[in-house]
Amino acid sequence: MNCDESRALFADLLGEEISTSNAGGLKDHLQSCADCRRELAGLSRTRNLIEQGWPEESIPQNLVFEFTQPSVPGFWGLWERSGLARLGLATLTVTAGLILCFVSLALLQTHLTVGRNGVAVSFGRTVGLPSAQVDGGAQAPSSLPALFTRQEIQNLINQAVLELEKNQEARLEQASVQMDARRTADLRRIANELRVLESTQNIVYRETLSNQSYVETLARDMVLKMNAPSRVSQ
Amino acid sequence: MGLVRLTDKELVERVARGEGEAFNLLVARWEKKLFNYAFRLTGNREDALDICQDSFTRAYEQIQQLKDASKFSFWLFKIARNYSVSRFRQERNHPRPQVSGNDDEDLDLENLLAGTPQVRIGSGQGFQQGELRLIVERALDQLPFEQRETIVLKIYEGLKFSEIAEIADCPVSTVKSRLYVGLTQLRKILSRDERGSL
Repeated sequence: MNCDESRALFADLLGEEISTSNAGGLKDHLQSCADCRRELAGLSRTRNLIEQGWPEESIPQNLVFEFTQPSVPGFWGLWERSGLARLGLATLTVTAGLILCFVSLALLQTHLTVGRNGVAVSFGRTVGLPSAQVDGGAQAPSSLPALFTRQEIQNLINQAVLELEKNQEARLEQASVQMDARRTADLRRIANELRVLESTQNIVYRETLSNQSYVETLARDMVLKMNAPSRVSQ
Repeated sequence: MGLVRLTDKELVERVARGEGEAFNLLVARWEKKLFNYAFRLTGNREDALDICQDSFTRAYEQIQQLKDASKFSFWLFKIARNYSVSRFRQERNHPRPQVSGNDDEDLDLENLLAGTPQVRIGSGQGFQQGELRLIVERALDQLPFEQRETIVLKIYEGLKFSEIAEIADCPVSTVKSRLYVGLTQLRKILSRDERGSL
């Protein structure tokens, strides 16, 4: 055993955990090595000094804990302790997600159609419209008995458009007549109002003239009355 | 059977079942050890008492997570160790001002620790117990936390290397190395004078 190997065992010796075989080898080396002997003696004294220098003390105040809510493991404690809580939480999350997904699809009225061209997804309420006739009159699967060709449908559309246009013209004509009648009635009413205004103005004019002549007569009489007493006094 | 005769494992199992009284027995059983461990790690009584209280509180809160109830004491020391590391880092980043109660005594100890030739620490004689404790405390203060922790657990608590490794979360070889290096450092600190008796 050399000095490095010897020093590697110092911790075991000072920690009082050295094996018998290592203790024998170390003892042999120490007998022949003064340096290791001196170092080990110094470390041993240091250890003793440290151990004796700081004896154990009493705790300044004893600790007492009050337990208002003792932890009762019970079923849930075992549940959490066994790790099932996480599994249960994950399962609940997945289930809730699936339910939410189905509810959303139901609210959106989603339809999944699997056909030869793949999967088709559609949303909303579907109405059973009659399918257009294809392939030279081959009847499409429909419950409605009426079948039209494209030309007939076009004619029907044209006819409907013409009827709409006619109705529109008739309505426009009728509206025009009504507007004329209203305009004529308004003009007549305005003319009547003007005539009433004119007659009123005439009356006012005549009243004004009458008042004027009355005032002149009164003035003349007053002048005459003022002149008459002076002649009597003379 | 009285609670006092129960082992740590049995008491821990009772605490896990909700018996608070059993936990107080564990506290009474381990508080002195834990307090001294924290005190020797931090060098401060108030900090040590806080660490002690916090450690027991944490232990009670997390006792359901203790897989091997027979290892309660190591688990408790490990909790206290984590708190001590936090305090150690706080103290290192924000060192508190030194409060000297007796200047004459401090001056005397400074001379003692200065390694003057007349100082003979090696024999451990010629000092009052209080003086010797201060010398040891100041010497331990100069060690890195890991070495100090290893020395405290080995020399004062008498734990095995494997148990220290479990608490410190490191290999056994590292624990042995820390003990050897720590003691060598302490020897140098305490003697200073290479001609000293250590």
